[in-house]
Amino acid sequence: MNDITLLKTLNADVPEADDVALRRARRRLIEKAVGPAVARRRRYRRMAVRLGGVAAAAAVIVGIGAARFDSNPVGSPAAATEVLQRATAVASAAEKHAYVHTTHVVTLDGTVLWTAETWIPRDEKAPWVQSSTVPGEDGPVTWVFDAPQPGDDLASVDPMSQDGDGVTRPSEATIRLISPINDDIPRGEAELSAWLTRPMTLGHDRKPASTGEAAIRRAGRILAATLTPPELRTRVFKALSTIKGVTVDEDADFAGRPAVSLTSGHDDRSQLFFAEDGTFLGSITIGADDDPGSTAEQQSALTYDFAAPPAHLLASPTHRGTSAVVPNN
Amino acid sequence: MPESSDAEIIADSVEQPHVFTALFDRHARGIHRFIARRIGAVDAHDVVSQTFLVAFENRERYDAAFPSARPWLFGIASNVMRHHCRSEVRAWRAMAASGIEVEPSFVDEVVDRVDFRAHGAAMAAVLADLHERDRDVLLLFAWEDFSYAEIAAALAIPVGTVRSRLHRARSQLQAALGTHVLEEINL
Repeated sequence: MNDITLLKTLNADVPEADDVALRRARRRLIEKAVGPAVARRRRYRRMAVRLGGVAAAAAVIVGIGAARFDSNPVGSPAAATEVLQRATAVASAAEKHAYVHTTHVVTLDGTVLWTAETWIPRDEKAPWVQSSTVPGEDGPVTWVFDAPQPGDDLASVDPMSQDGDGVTRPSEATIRLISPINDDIPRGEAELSAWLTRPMTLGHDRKPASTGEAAIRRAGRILAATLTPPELRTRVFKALSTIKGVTVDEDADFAGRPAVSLTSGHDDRSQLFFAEDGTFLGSITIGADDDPGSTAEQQSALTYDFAAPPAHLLASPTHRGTSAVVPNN
Repeated sequence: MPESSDAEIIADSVEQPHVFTALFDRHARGIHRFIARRIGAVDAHDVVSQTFLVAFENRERYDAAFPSARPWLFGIASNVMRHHCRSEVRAWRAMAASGIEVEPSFVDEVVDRVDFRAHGAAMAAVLADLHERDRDVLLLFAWEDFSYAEIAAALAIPVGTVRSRLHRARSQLQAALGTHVLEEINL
């Protein structure tokens, strides 16, 4: 072994791999990894459609990672506007119902972090109901709380606090996000558009986000919040429809469900998904972060209907509260 | 919970592609080091990147009988390095000409008695002259401590071929170093 032992010393003092170069290589791998998965799911979806539309059956979407990294986004801003007009109509129609019932699932890399059903009353004085479940804990926790009031401590939860690093981590703040009366969100359409598109940087290299990308990311977080009321959804959809750089893919796939997706360009990491009738399905944010172990694929799926809360929840909730701030269970 | 094996990660990545990055996190630095010792740190980054892209494309063909993917990944890296073969030969020739020192920490007090600069040059000259197939076998064996079976898996060759290539490469190396030198340093 003498020659081998001596050979072991040859160039043994080679410099360690450069962290920046490794991150770049890792990012290339991530981007390659995410695209083909969707392509496969699309094939599955088309097959399912031929077999009778099974793919449309999922109402609650759990633990599926999906996103596109196509180099050439399809669609046009005009088509995106049409999608958003449909979504606006759906959100506006919700105002006619006594309740908006949402089912919201947040996953990270395929693991369910939190699920919640929320019944939001149209009556501003009616109680709100939420039943949430954290996997591994003791069953669902149901809260009935008074309608939120201006002055509730909601604005202290800054939904945009994680914009800078390019990865949306479902921190407690994000999960607890309630934005309906967040004073930071402007009410005027033009002001809301300006607010959604204000400068944002992404990733470790602090790359400026495009206007469309910033809007998609911010809108996604508002829309994915369970308690965002229909009125705010309507305003966000309207504002998005005025922002250039938002494109549409009419052949998208959201965890096996046919969908229309809105994105903002080929280098996007965020998408909004809608059912063909304009119902908002959810958003996906992929963190093409470069630090080992930190790549996060977050999916926030939301489904709507207009059912009233079950009477037994109103009669005997686990907790009662005086604020619509989601309690820290 | 025990850490997933490489094979398990690769299997999971078929349906959840993003988990493949865990393989990168485990092995990228090791592969970079192996390649950098041959062609330099800068080009090694490109090889590492390409290696994992190729590995990802071929993940569905991974043989799950091998819990560790090191041989597989180093084999891919060796193939990717084919494009850099000329660069490697040039690097070894330059080293042979300049007599760059080898790392002395491995040899303790022996370093005082032996001219490692000359030995480094001699080894570099041998590596420059070796056929690339023999060089791959020799360096996987010497630097990565791969067994014959692992080298065979990495390079997709029979174990017998590994033995013959390694024997041929080591014979040239020993001849260049000289038996008396190896006996003198008693390594």
